[in-house]
Amino acid sequence: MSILKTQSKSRLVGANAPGIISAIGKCRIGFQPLPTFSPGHIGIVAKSGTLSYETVASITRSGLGQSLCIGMGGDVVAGTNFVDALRVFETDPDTEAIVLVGEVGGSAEQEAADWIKDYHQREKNPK
Amino acid sequence: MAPPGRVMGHAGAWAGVGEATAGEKYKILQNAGVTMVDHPEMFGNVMKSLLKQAGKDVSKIQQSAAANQRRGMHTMRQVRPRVVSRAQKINLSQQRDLHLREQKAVDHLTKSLEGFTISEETPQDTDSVYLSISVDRSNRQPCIITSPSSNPRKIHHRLRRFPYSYLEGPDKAIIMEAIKHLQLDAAPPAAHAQTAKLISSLASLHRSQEAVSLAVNLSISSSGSLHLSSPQLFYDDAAFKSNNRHPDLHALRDPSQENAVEVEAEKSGIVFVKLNTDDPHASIGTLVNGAGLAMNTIDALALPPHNGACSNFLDTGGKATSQTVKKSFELILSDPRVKVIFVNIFGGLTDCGMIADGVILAFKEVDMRGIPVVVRLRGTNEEEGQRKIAESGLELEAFDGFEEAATRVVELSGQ
Repeated sequence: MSILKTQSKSRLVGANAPGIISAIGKCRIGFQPLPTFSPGHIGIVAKSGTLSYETVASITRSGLGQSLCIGMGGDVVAGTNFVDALRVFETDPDTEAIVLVGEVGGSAEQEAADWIKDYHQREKNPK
Repeated sequence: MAPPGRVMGHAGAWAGVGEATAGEKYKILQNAGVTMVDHPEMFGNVMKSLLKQAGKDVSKIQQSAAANQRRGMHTMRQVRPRVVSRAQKINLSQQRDLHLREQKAVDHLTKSLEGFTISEETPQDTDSVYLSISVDRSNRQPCIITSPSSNPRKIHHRLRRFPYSYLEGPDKAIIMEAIKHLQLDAAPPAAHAQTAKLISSLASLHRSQEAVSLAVNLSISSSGSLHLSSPQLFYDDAAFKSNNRHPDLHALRDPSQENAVEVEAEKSGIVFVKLNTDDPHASIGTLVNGAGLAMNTIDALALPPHNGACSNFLDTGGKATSQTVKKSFELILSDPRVKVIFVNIFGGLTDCGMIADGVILAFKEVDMRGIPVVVRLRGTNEEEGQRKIAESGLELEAFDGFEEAATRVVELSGQ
């Protein structure tokens, strides 16, 4: 972790996660099931791999699609957490709405909640 | 909803001291203006209505989604919908990791630390404080945790975390800060120095033994001598399982003290946790791929409108085969409370065809005791899996959607 922090070109996604996939850019780094995805504008970040697939399927079935799907993973220490993902989604022109899937353990959800509160205050038209 | 102190499949799926439960996290997010759902199946429709409410042209987004080849389609930045989220409930600790408590912990700590007296019970007649070395998940570093009260009801809001560099260990400054929070003002300077030594030693131990958390209560006598009590030592077994590191430590695990079914499950790579042990009517057996979906299945069944109690948590694991599925049925059926089995699969790595084969194998080779089975197969190769189930001629009820499957499961459970 401390080594990763010394640079800004690479990040750790996971561990214990299915990876990261851009349905819009058609690029998969991981093992997510491809047929479930459909290019669109909903960004997803989830601790659980299977729950992220359920989320993707539901979004796809409703006629919406996904922009970027980030696996936070189920480990004690996550390379990319909710706030990291929210920061990416905030500035991603392809993402118009965001879905978060949490899990017991740690306090990433509280940090996300704080970030969201702040985001709603500073952003006139929040995603 | 799991027994407190269980690690639910994912290495990080346990609420550490001072961390919120899933229910609390749900409220925290809701208070931040986030729209919550109970099952991911609901995300699509809820998101659609949120987008509509926000004034977005949903059909336009759908068309764009359908037609989208590369990026750069949408730059509309108008009123936007909110974040939709879901938090899970289960608590945990034990399973598959090493937890040392009571006499075992005392013995181990006595051996590993020099110069401290340690007892099992915390004396009631003196004040005691709480001290541990753990992981600060937010800062991605190890940390010292201190609380000026060791009262379990107070620790939660009185503790503070002091993260430090993993590579360098805690420095004098951070140790002093941590001790300050213990509010040991009445104690003589020698006691402070001893406490600093204790923290330093525990931190070294935490690193060398690859612990998750090492906690003790600490009391200081009027003469200034330290007394440790109620040690709780938590080690992840990944180092041991993958590379045989710390065999002596992990030999301290006593499987005879654990649930026999859970220990048996481990041999097949299955994570099994018996649930609702006090409830004789917890009659829904669950068989799921993925710890997250497994937890969510149990939670969603427990919430209204279903209000169904499950007998177990079961994660088949990513390397599951048809034999694993058959084994899962055996494990679930060993609980006499079970009246229905819910197989809920969303396959990523897991192949639905393989799951179907496993279910069929179970019916052939396991005494199902006439217990009804409800199957929901989605994901990788779902058509093949669903076809195999349909053509099997077995008495199974197959569903596509979670809600309908769950409704039928609860009906069959007799709850």
